[in-house]
Amino acid sequence: MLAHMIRHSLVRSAGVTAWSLATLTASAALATIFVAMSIDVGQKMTSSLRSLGANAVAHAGQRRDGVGAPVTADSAAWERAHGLAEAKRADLVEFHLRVGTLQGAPVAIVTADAAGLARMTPYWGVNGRRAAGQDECVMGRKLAQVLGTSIGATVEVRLDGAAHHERYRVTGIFESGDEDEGRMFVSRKPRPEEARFTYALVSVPGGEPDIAAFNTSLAAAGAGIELTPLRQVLHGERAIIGKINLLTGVALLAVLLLSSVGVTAAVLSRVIERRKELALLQALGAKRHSVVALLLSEGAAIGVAGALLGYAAGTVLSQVIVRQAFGVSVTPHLAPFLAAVVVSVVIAVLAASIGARRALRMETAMLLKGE
Amino acid sequence: MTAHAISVQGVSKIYPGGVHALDGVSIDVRPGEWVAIMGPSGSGKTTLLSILNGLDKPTSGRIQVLGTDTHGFGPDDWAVFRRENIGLVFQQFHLIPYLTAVENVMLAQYYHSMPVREQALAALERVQLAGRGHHLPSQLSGGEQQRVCIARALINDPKIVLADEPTGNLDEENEARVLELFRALHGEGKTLVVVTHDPEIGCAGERIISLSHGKVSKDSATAAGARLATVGGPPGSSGDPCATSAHA
Repeated sequence: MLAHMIRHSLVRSAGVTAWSLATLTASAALATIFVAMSIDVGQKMTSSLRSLGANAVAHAGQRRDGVGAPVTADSAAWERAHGLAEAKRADLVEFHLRVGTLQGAPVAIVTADAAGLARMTPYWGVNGRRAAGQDECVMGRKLAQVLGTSIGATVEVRLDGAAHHERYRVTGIFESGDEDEGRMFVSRKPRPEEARFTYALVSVPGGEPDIAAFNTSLAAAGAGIELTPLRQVLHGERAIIGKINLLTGVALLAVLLLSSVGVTAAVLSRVIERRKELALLQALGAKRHSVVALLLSEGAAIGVAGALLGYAAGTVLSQVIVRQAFGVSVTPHLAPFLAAVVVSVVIAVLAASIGARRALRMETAMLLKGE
Repeated sequence: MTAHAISVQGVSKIYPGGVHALDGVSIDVRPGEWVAIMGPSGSGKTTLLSILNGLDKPTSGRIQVLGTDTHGFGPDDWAVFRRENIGLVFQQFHLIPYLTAVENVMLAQYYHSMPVREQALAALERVQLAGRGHHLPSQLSGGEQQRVCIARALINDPKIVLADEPTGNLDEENEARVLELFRALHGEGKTLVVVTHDPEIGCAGERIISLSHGKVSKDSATAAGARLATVGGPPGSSGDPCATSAHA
């Protein structure tokens, strides 16, 4: 009988039901999107931020051999580091730093894979173009100024006390805002006998804990390489993600508050519309809690329907948003569904309880008076 | 001493604003008695009925129904007491519009014990609405709706039936049908308290209690009541108020 009454009551007040349902669906959809984003997009956004460059630097560790001499990471060690990076879906690009002379002045020459360099330094403002071939280089703005070099010029770098020289054509001059502006970057690999310092820029998906985990793996593999997080970058990322979460959280709360008001207004109008019916139920012997149960059940029914519709809509929308923003899919989780159910049912039941409170305050005798 | 079906002692009702709807009303109704409460608009008839059925509370005074002192009853106590002992008939019928006739009757069963469709259909048959059980109130005439209301009032076999202007919205034909039903209920020994403006309905009972400005202005036996009184004892004090009535 109760279910029958609830069904008929909801159908009869179709306008109010539709309004409540639409509001709850929107709230549940927003809750679904927010929770799905919070869980998934935090990671995806961090991954996305990786396209903006490195978040850690890898360098030879402080390992020492049996007699206490420092051990420099060899190519085998870097190979192991590359393997681990691949396993962790991290991007690791080696940089070999040599010192030569150019027009009699000492100059730092950095060798890196051209594509890898581009991935790790997307923020460079390159005038001209990046170096692509073995005989090409890009030069930092400060170095180019000191040497008076321009794009298209050919420079000759002397190495090993002028015993060896390399010629490069300058394809671009870049601005980076850091010490790299005093260096030149090439892709030709150094000769094995050449003295050099090797380091790597690493882009690790995730935040500081993921970098720490990568570091642990490197130590476990005995690679002799350590990873140092670029805290400035990580802190900035954390702050951005935190602010985005805060803003969306506040927006969600505002929407939930507004939807609560909307649903409460709808429920109250339904209670007022049905005040004689509710008075009649009490006249027929319904206890107050039975009237409350009827209204709460109606609220819960709309709440559950709103949760299911909202979850479906929210899941589709979050997929679309995440696909547009990050080019990936949202991983299904239980939490967004629970959030949709909790938000929708809580708002609906809360509104219904306000309506029930109002219903119980009404003068039953007056409502049933025969005039 | 006779146990009263209803005993009202010094009941007053003052609404907010100081309106005295009832002012020290005292009446007793015997079990099985058919009492009409009459009086002009605003005399306190409906207020008295609302207090008798527990939907309203008196400002002062005591009420015993079927030997139970209702003083201190809360809304839930009254709800339980009402569903066990009292059937209500309303002028405006108050049927739930989205429930069929039989479902409206079953609703009273639902809050009493358990809805049984067959019993509800039998109650409708009793009020000559067999075959109309599946109709919505909007598909029934006023007289038919009132009979559904009566069937709903009777479904739990109450000892007392309280009716507020039961024929107020009905034509003569339906009024006669309702009156017939009340006679049948009276014949079964139900206690009937009927608030009415209609002298014909009032005079059909055993006794008419007239209210004026919230006070009992007259309490007298009808001819029917006088006939019964010769067998069962005096119901009222005055002469037959229906003697000059066109319907008497």
